[in-house]
Amino acid sequence: MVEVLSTDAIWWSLFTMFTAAGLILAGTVTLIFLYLIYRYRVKGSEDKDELEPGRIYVETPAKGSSRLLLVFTGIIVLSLIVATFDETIYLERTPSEEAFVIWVTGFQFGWQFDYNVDGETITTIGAVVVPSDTVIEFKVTSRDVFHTFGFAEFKVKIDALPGIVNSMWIKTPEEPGEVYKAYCYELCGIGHSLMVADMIVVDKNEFFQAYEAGPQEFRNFINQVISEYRASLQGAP
Amino acid sequence: MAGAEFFGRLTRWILRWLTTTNHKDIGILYMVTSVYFFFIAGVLALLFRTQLAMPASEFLTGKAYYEAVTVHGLIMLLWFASPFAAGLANYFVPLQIGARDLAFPRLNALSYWLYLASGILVILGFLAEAGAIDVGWTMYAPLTSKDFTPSPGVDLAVLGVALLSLSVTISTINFLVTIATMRAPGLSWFKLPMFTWSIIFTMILMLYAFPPLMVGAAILWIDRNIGTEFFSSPAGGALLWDHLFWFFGHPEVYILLFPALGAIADIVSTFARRPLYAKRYILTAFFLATILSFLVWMHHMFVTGTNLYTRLFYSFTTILISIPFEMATVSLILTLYKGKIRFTIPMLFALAAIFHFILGGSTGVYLGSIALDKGFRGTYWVVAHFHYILVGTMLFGFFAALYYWFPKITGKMYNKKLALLHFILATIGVNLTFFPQFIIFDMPRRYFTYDVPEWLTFNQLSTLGSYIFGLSMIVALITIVHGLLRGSPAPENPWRAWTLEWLTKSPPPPENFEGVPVVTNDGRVVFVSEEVAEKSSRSELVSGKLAGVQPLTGASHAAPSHSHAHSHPVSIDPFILGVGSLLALFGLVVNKFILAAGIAVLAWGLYRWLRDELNDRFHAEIPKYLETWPFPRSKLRNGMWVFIASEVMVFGSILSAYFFIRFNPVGKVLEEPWPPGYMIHDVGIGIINTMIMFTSTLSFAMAYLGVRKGDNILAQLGMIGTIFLGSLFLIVKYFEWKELFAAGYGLDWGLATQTYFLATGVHGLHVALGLLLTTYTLFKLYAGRLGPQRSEEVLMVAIYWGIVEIVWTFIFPLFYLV
Repeated sequence: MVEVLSTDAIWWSLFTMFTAAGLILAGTVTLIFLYLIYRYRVKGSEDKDELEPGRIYVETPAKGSSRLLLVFTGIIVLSLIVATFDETIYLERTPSEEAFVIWVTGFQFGWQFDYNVDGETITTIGAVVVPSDTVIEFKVTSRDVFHTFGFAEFKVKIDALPGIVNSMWIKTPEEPGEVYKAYCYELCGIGHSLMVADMIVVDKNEFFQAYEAGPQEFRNFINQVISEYRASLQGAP
Repeated sequence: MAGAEFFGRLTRWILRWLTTTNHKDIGILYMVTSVYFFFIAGVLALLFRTQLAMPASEFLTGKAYYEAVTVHGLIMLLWFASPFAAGLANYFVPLQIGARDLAFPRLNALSYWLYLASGILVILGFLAEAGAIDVGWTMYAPLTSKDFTPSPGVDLAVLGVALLSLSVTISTINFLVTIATMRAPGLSWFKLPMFTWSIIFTMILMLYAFPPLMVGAAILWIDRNIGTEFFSSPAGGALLWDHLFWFFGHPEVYILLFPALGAIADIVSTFARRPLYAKRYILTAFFLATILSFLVWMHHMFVTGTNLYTRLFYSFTTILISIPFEMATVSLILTLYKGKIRFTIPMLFALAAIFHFILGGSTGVYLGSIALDKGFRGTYWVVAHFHYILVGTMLFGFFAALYYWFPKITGKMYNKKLALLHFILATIGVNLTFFPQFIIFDMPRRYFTYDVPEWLTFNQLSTLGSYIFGLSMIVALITIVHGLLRGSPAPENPWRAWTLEWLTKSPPPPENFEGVPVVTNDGRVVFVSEEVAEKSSRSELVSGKLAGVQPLTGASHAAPSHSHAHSHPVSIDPFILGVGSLLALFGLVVNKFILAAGIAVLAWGLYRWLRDELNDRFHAEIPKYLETWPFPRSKLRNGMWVFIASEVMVFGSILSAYFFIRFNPVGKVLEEPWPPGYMIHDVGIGIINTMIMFTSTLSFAMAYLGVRKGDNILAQLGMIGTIFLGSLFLIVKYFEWKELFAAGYGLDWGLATQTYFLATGVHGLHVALGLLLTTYTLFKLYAGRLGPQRSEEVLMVAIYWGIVEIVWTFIFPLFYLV
């Protein structure tokens, strides 16, 4: 099986690439800008110059070198974007056919998660339990208005639109135990800021053991993980 | 009696501002009003920044927070930024091109009063019990539907947006015609100052971008109040709004940015004492950006899940559009090369704006990548990026422009120390507010509460920055008031600048210039008297060798001439129409009686307007010495073609919405399949109506021929025929609609009938307007105002009927046959 890269790793590599190119290009331009301001400053308040009012001055003709600068920076910027096309396509398509599918429905104001276990639907609200080291595909829709489902850490998000099912994937970390926040990223009403859900990563083996044991077993497992997590929050000072 | 005298003077002063049609007065009105809106929106920003300085803060409720955020965005973008630029443009474009005024001064006043009325409508929402609009300035559907936000505040804002779009469209016609046909002799296109050029591009963008917004707002209003479901339909309604809104929304960014960049270009070149470096690159850049800006809107929709390859195309065009701006920036920077840079206040603001633009621009490049956008969308990275553009660049450009032109507008110099304090505080404030937001780019936008401890410090820094920025605005206000009251008198040209607006008094007289400015072939500006200009040929004028040429330093100011064409006739009608629109639209939301009163006021204003029109009070030909190449020397003709462009966008938007809903199956499949048109509609009646439509246009063509030949009988017959046939068309339409409702194909049947009613309804309104125009033309004929020399006005109405007919030839097959 091909190693699946995590979405955040791809994102950070692109971010680094853009930042490096940006620093070089914008940095050079800024340095030239600062140098010119310093070099051609005038200290006195009044001085004579050959440009007099009452004439129309249109332009200073361009020199060849500046044209070169434009072409050069243009090529860099364009190649940047073309370089991201591969990653974009990779991020768009769920990389594994064995992805674990969870249905997500946005509503005012919360997230509903549905698992399909042997044809039976298991529903949770406000929290979702996922196995570690697995590709998860979220099939996202909305019950009412325009929401956007996404995780800050995994650097992916997708719009939740009424009547439309969109798809988004992440790869969960290898180690269980972390809890991630899912946010809503599109203003959806006065409770928009409260549309936060917890994604609890549990051990892959435990998870799939419960999953294969059937709907009843799985429901108990999920509920137990979520209530344990919530209890741990209340126990905290 | 002193009280009575004071009262009399006050009344005259108020009346002067209510009735003025002078472009400089209107410019001041625009600027003052937009600054007023700026302070409202700015205080709202301080409110929500205060909220965010504390975690789980209860300073504002969620509802109040979203009202503040939404109205802040709407007001800043639509009622401050563009109108402030419109104010500068009003004041300085005619001066920079050497014109006396805009092409249509009274329409210009109308634009202003409609703009003011539309802004008041939005603000009035705060008085509503359910509060002002609170759905975000992007107004994403279906949150805006009545089910989710029943507040009349939303209706008021939506109508405000529609009215503003109308005002903007009128402005675009005015400015484009003015610049096309009223340039001083010898002032060729390339010699126009960058600010005027930036306004040309801004107006072109507005012309094509605002009609889709107007259509979107109108559809949203009928969705909310008449029960259609264009945007609330689960069959892609939310995406339809996205498309319409962002087709406007992205060009809007450049609408906001261009005027500031244009002013910055003029200012940098003036204070670096160098003509602009490679102006042709900057112009090319603006041109490319204008074209490309209509091909990038889907980068706001990268995570909507639409077709991947479509999005990749938009990703490419988005990055492509960064190149023209990079060209422009490099050209601005290289203007400093070998210059003699003077650090005046306008120059400081302009240079700071370029710095902010580099930062704001390069952080925007990230958002062009779909992969990176998956992380950035809806976060503070976006907020920081566009505020660096809008505040750091655009607003700083406006400050630069304000201090640059302050002496010209007021005739006074400002206090440099106060202005420097403003600059320092504003620069610290902007960077302290928005730079921390890049660092907490994981934080979602528009959250009024958060519980992530790492975000707290940066939010507090940001809030501190916004307070400092707020303080700088108070300093700015003090600087301006101090300058007005205590400033030393400003000379004509304090900056030794070389554009035309500096070659007249500060402030300029109502006529702008003593005599006609002429740019000679060797690049000098000379002034010749109007008599000489009228008698000379263009080549004589621009040769600069005419006798009687005045020196230009303003040493001799002859008494201004008061010929009919140049005196500024005043008119209260634009104000009446503004009040009427405000009352009518407010009444539409609130109360039937106010609506009726509003319509009555509108009718009264329109009657007065047309009466003046009939008496030629505002009729002024373009003097033959002005530059019009390559356009015809006719305000009406040029204006008509610009108007047609906006009409194309209106119907284009409506038909695009129809195509999107019908032929682009996204989302939930419609419950009822979309029936072919001939299943619902009577094709026979449709054909009859098509014939009536064609015949009415032919009939008007006959009327035009009659006027041209001086044959009054033919002209009358043609016009009466058109009125008869147009009315017949509407009557047939009325019965057609009635039948449809009776047969159960009303609005509640589904999107198939809703699109039909929308398209034919808007077309019907155009027919009604055509009837009004035709009736008026008939009156003009009876009043003896038409003749072979004045046949152009009739031709314009004929062209209008032509458009109405062409639109019908699209509607008929699309809705009846397929």
